[in-house]
Amino acid sequence: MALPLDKIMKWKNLAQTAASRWPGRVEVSLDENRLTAHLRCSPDDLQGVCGWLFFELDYSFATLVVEEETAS
Amino acid sequence: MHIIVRHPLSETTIPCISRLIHAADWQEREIEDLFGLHFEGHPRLGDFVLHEEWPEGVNPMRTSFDSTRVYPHRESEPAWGPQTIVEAAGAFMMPIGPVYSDHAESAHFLLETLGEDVLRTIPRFFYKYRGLEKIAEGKSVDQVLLLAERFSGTSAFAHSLAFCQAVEGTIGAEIPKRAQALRVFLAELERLRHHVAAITGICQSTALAVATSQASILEEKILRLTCRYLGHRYLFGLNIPGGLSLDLTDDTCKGISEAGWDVLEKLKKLQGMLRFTSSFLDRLEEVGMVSKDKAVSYGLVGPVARASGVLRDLRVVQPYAYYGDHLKFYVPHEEEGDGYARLRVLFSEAEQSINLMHQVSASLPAGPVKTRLDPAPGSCLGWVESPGGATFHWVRLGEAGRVLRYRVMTSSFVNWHGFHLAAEDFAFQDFPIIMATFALSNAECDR
Repeated sequence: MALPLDKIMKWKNLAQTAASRWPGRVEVSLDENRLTAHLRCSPDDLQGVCGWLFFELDYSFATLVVEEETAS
Repeated sequence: MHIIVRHPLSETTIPCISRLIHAADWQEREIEDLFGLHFEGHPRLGDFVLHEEWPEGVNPMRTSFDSTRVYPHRESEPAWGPQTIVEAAGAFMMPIGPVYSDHAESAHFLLETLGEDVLRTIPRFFYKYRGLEKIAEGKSVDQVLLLAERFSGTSAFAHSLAFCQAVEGTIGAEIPKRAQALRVFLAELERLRHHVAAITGICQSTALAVATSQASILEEKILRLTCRYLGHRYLFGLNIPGGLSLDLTDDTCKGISEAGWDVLEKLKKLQGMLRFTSSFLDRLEEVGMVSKDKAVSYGLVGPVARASGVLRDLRVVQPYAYYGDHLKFYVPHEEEGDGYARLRVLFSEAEQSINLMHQVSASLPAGPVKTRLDPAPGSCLGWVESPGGATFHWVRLGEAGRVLRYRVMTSSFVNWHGFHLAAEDFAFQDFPIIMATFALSNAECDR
């Protein structure tokens, strides 16, 4: 995945920002090869995380994927 | 960005995000029907994909669903209708569809009118929902590829490309440069054909017989050209995980590209004529308007969004295949958000597609067009800017490359969600014209 530079900078800081906002509750792992970030959170934090990404970091919503039993 | 929320399936209630991000509205409704998950706080759940006859509590995307079992048909009382209706002197509810006399696919619209004005448009789809994502489960990658490129012929190449990119992403496969470049060439050829067909539809909706014929001739010319060089009018059978099934010689690309210039010349002539046809402009200007704010809120995509000033295009913001700094093009956009702005974006994008095809054919890398690919367990998201806009295919593969989960999000599904914005507050005679300027596929919705 190739992102514009400004987004890469925000992306690099995602883990730090998430850790300060949701200490110990939102786990961020970065896939450097694909420039993808995986955020794990509980249902209680879902709205906060989505709002942060959408309104503050200007990400767009793409899709919801539900996986049953197979998620790793 | 990938947000993962683990949740025990025994608890079927999860927080809804569509109250924050309206673009998630239809997707939450779809998931509620298919998985039985209840999005807490969502104002309108139920009877979306699964219509009122579908038995209560049966969720076909759950692994426990038994497709061989006969479930009892549910008698619905009362039959489906809007939860509230306009009550006023002269108020009238006009149904359109779901069955049409021409080739149009099934969709049902209830227009609440007062005189000629449409106050509210209530769409209903999924009359021919095919359960593509469920059918894909357990199938091989090659089998699912056939599904991916067949569920909507208008963007067959884009869908097969998104699927292949998702599969390739699961193992981080390196795709040969020539294949990447040819994928861009073919994707732009498909965009050109799609946009010419959309322009034909707009001319037809305004009863301009001569312009309709001229645009139709151009569309047919592109289809025949595609068939002659690539073996299929709608570009089926070309994408495969790992590259392309067919190499195109440099001369073939140049030949198609040259024909593209001829199409462009005729398109420009047609656009010039339409610009000075006042009866045509009267039907499009300041009709079917969607504001930029609404377009962002609904997450609209593609030419529809760009006509409302939303400058988003995955070829630029998340480049894939051969898109990137070495290809020069601009993303046309307008500000007005009306039918005429959407038409102008279609004309400009068609020109940009021909420009891109020319650039690719002039600098086609040498080398193979496919690499051997052995699918392995993993998951990945594939994305393309299809002719209609942002399109996503998500796959999770298991052992032996079997598809465990497949999720498809199409531009038409997203843009149908926001279509009512354009159709409301205008005369009902404008309805088919507004619909034509959106150039959406019902099959992409009923996937």
